[in-house]
Amino acid sequence: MRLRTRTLILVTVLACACTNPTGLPHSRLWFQATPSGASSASTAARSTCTELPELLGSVIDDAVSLDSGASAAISASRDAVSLRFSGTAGLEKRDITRTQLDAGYADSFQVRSSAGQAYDISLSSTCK
Amino acid sequence: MVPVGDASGAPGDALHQRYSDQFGMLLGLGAKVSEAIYVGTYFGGSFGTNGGDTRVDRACTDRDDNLQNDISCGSGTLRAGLELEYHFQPAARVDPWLGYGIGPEFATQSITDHVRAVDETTSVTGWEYARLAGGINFRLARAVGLAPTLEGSLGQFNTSRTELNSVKVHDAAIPDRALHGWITVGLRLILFP
Repeated sequence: MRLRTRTLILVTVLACACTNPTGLPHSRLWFQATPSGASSASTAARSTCTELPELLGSVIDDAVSLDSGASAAISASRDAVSLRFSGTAGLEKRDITRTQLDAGYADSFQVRSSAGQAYDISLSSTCK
Repeated sequence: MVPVGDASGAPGDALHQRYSDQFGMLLGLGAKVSEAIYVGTYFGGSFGTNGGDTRVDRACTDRDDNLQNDISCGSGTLRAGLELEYHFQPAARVDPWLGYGIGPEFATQSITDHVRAVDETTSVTGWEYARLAGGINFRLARAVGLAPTLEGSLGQFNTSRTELNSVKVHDAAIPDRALHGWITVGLRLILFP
């Protein structure tokens, strides 16, 4: 009798002390490269969604090949994303913090590959 | 085992921020090459939970209402190596000793989001350059002894690997390395002391 009463009290306390179920908060960077003049829905568009990790020391590497001579490397730690272009003229690097992504981030710019092709780059904290 | 020092040179990346205090076991196998000198190998492992990092700790504290752990966290270590001990009174019932060991080290931490089915694991490997130990063997019987032991290790992690749902997403050398250590208080059971 006493054991049953205690069990009931324990279950009641556990049920009342909790809130809604939650998963991990996540921050993401959406990257899309589209050949200038083409539609972003074109098959020539290249995109990736990189989610920032949660643990200290975790790193998530991603890469997007633009054409034979140019690529973008994405490296995400839990506090920032580093975007580095190779084989392009102009912008070579961009760092975006988690704070920026959590506040809602969007940017667009153009890079040109060594082969002469221009690409419209879109960055966003919302993956499509 | 209590973590001290830094996992890497990155700001805020102290070992205790990644890993909690650990509970573990170490097995050793070796022989006395003289009355006073023991040479052997060791292999050990430990387990714990997340370290003191506030963000991870907040995530790992379960707050759901379904009586299940929606976000679980864990950590652990493995180590192996060679060790040398000098025994000051090898024939006595009470025998103080000092030891030195060296060998590779592995540590891992994980966070699993059961709601989104995402498992993130980051493992580091390196070397324990010095595993200094001291203790007192109490010979309880001819073939059995007990030894309260204090150990301190000094090591460095060299490579880091991250996996998402068991798929490798990063595997590289750690660019800014740092020294770390583990302080261990334990009790050794010794066969044929």
